[in-house]
Amino acid sequence: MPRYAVRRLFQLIPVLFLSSVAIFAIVRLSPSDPAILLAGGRQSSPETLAAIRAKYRLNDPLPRQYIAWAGNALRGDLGESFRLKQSVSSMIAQRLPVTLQLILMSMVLSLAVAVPLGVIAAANKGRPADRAITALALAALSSPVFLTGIVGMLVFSYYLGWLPAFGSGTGLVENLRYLLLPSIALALNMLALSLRVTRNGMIEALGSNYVQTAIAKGLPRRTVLVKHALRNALIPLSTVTGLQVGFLLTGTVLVEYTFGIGGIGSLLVNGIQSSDYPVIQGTTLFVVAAFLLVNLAVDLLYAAIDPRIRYS
Amino acid sequence: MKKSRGSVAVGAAGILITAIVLASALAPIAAPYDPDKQDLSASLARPSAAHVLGTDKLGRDLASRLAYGGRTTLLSALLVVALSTAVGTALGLAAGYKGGTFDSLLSRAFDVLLAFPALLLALVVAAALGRGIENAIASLSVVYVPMITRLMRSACLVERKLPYVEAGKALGYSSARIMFRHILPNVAPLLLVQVAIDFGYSILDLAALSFLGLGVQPPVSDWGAMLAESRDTLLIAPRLALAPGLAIMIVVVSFNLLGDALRERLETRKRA
Repeated sequence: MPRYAVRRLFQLIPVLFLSSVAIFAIVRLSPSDPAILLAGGRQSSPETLAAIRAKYRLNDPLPRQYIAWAGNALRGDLGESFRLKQSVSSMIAQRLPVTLQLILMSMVLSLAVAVPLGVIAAANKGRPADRAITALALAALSSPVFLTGIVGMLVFSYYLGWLPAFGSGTGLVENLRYLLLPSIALALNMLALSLRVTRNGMIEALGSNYVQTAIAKGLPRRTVLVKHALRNALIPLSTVTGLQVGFLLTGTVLVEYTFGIGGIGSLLVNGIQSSDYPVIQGTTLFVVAAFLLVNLAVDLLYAAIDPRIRYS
Repeated sequence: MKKSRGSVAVGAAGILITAIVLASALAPIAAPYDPDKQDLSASLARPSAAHVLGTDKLGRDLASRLAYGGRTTLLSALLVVALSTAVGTALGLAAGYKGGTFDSLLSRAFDVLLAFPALLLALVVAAALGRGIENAIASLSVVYVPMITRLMRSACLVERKLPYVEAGKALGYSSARIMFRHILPNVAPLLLVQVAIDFGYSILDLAALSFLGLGVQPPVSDWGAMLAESRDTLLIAPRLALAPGLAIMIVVVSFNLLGDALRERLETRKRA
């Protein structure tokens, strides 16, 4: 197992390398000239632009610029923001906690709702309860996350006044209050897939021989559902949850922007809106690396959850 | 019983899609107002006989804007799906049928693209290309291609071993002819399911790009941009957010229902 994990970790290196090339290439394909952006977008004299190009090494051939950027990135230095003249790495570090809180809360909320609903739907397959739950999941899946956010803001912040609509608070409890609405919006969006996977897994498990045996033995329905069927239905759910991290990472971009939360997502959007290349490159590389690592972790956890799976 | 209820939902989805497509397509004839005509004296007017859904803060008729916005949204989504399906199908069939170096190179390249969360990749490409609906369409098409390619490649790998392909080869048909005239019609139902579902997703993704200001630029508008605009007046006129939001939801739900129904039919046919 440890050897397998190390091998998988090494396999990430070429993917990460090619991703970084892709990110660099895509951002540099941009028709706008970084020197003009650095000069503040105003009409600048050719001398100023030349000085800026020399200072930021923008005249170097692109491969050399890439090597400089990637080399620094390996040492944890993602360059300096054009606009704010701050280190991109420290900007990411500063904004990471709130994004992590948001992702974690949405994940917990989504699973806390999706798993019980999936079990109820499967236990009542084809009956009104199942139909209602499936319809709800479809509606949640089809609503853009910013629409859910806006409606939630309208109802819970403005009409009912229960939760703050915008920004983030200080202190843990206060902060959680600010993050509750955004987390619900995000959770609703990922709910559908978890629910569907739980429901299908449960339906399959409920039809299997060992569950039929447990029912025939006269075990209480609840014990059969939770102890026998659910444990097996949870295995595919763990894979899907891992894959959904990617979905959450982009979901936070929209949710943070909608609710004015200063996390990684709004860092990226602000970077994009102001053509701040180092910020775009750095944040994207960070998110892609995180996404790859999480998926690897999920694959490895798989063996821990399901004793039938052994990696060698 | 189950079947009839399912087909009622699909029927409703079909009717809703037809109605929304018609309203959008006929916008120049059907819309009561010019969607960009400002009338500051009628700013934020409530729904009335003159303005069925009321007006926005610049006094523009919401119903007309919704119809014209739908044109942009639906047409853009159609373009994304058409472009990505055309390119993805050609690449996937070629990779699956020919195999070899082309296949392995393509698979490696797409592994990298699939390492990006989809909308993140679209965001970065859209940012590089610059704002504008054409660039949003282009960037989303790029993002959707690897998924279609994978689907078509794996379907083609199965078909390749079937007797009719062998027969085509024995008759000396060209690879292109076997791929597009023989294999493609056989995998088309699978593709159709994917197209229906992708259409819904591309509407959501386009709305997201427009919401972030990377999609359509004024004066042109789509449902995503209308949602973004509505945020300033959310408290006074929530209908400005709800109308385009519901429009997006209805279309996406309908396409998901259609995709699911198609898939179910496909699976029953396969089993039979």
